[in-house]
Amino acid sequence: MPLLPAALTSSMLYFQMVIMAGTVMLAYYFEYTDTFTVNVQGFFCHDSAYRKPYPGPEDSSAVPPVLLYSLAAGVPVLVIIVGETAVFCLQLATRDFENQEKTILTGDCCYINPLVRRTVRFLGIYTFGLFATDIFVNAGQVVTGNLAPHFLALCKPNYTALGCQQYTQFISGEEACTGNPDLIMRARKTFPSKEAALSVYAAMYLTMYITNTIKAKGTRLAKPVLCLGLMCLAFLTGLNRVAEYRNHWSDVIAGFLVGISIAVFLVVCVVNNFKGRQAENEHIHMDNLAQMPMISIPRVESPLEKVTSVQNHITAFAEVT
Amino acid sequence: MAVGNNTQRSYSIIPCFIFVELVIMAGTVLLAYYFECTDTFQVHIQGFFCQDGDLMKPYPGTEEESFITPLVLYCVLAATPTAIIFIGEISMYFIKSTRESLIAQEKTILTGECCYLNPLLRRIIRFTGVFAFGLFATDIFVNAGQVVTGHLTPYFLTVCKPNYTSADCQAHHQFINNGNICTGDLEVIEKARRSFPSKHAALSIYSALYATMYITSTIKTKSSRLAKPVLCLGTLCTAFLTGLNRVSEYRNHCSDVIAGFILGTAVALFLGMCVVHNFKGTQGSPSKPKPEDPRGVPLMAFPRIESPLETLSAQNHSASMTEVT
Repeated sequence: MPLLPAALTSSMLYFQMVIMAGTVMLAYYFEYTDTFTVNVQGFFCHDSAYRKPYPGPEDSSAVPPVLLYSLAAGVPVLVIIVGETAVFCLQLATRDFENQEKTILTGDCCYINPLVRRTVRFLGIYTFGLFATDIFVNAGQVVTGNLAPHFLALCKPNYTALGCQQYTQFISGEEACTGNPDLIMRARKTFPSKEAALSVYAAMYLTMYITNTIKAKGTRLAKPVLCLGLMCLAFLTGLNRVAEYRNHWSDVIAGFLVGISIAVFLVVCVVNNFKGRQAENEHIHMDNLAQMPMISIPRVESPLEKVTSVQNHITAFAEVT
Repeated sequence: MAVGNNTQRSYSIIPCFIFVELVIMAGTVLLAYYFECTDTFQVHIQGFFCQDGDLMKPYPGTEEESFITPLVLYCVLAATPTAIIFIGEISMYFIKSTRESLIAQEKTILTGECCYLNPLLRRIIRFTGVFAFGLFATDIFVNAGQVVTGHLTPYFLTVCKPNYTSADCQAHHQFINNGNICTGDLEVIEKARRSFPSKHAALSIYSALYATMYITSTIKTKSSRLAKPVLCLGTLCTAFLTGLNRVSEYRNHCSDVIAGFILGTAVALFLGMCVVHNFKGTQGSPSKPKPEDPRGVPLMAFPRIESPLETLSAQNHSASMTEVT
């Protein structure tokens, strides 16, 4: 089994930790403090888009936040750990070491085997993406300050004092509301929908993991059923927000777009579709490249040169990833 | 990089560049100029309801009073990707390991007797040129969309100032079809008829996505998996917030901004993938998966090249592409 001593890796580990900590801190500031004040949007007294009834606090929703967050955090962790263990055991059983990642030797004592490396990498990227989605969504909510469909039910503006007899009266002050300021603050954060973005991000990441990693030969329907089931759950979570008058349509659609694009970006550009052996190829072919005479590639005639050109392609491909 | 196998003599590249690329580019810029600064193209006049709440938001002032003024926006979105491409290419050229693969991908072109076009210059010109072309193309798309749809901005009725007591506006659900009912400043009204899709959103997301694609496919930070995503997501987040700021200032509807995002993303993805081939050299264009990799299940199936003959013809094709750029 190939070994790779990596002082570099351990030093880069701290760098990753710092970036991760910064991301988590930023998400924490957005979620739990009022460092970033919401943009105060005005409204029309009798705007029917904002006069839906108040559906109660978030906890009384059909998908309460606790359930959503624990599912979004728990299910991918479980699936990735189970999937990686299964892949590793299968490789051990079939002695298929060719496809394995290298075992990394850090210091004198510790071996980090491929199973641990892959699991940590995929879960780490997943966690990072979860917090990044949260930051995107919160930043969007704070900047737009779009009003929730149940805003007027919470705001309880004094219609007579504000001169709301006229339909076209635009109210643009924070002091117009008489309701509970905490609830009003929350009703100012809707675009894009956080629940929609997080659930579709988790479902999309898992779907791509399942389609790329697990090869269930013989059954063609097992994977699609699993993937579509996950996507359907995320889809319904978003729609439930509209049904409960907690978000508008456009909020949920924007949330879906944010979640999907972050998941696709991370999977395609950062973890390379969950494949793992590029780093190894890179070293081998870099050596080849250094010894190789610089030939002009388009004039390839013989099969031998074709091989080198293919290797060049792979090098270019491997380096990018 | 001495004169050797890796140089190519081409007399056609300079005339080709001047007479084809520059003419196309000039045409694009001219069209964008006509859209932006003249009134050659008449805006479609859309009707409205006098009491439509969606169009009665307060007027946020001229564009210059916005939180992100057009001048700042245009400077930042033109300068950032250009600066990133310059820095990236120059550092790639001067770092030895990347330089070798760079030269292997890209030939030095000998034009006439005197001039060498080396890979560094060719790549910089190609990437920034395509970026500038895409910027103008996005602008044309957006302006054409705005002129054709003629959607009204959220503050339209505030600047239009229709006479509410007149007979037309008395009934609540009277649809007003002619624009003569407006009594406000004509120039401001003209601008308030251009809203779908949002220009700010489209341009900023185009620029951010182009920079992101350049960073992801060119810069290699070994063993740090989070540095690139943080940089890229940060750039994208800025563009995203630029678009949303339009909504919060009542300058655009949500749908305008979403349409702008989709438009900018589409143009950037098309240019990055199909025109500059993910920022690889002209040889690396068809990024084939390794044939003998059993686990290679690529997301998109590229045609696999089997026989030497096919390889030859495919590479001839890329050689002919080389001469143009």
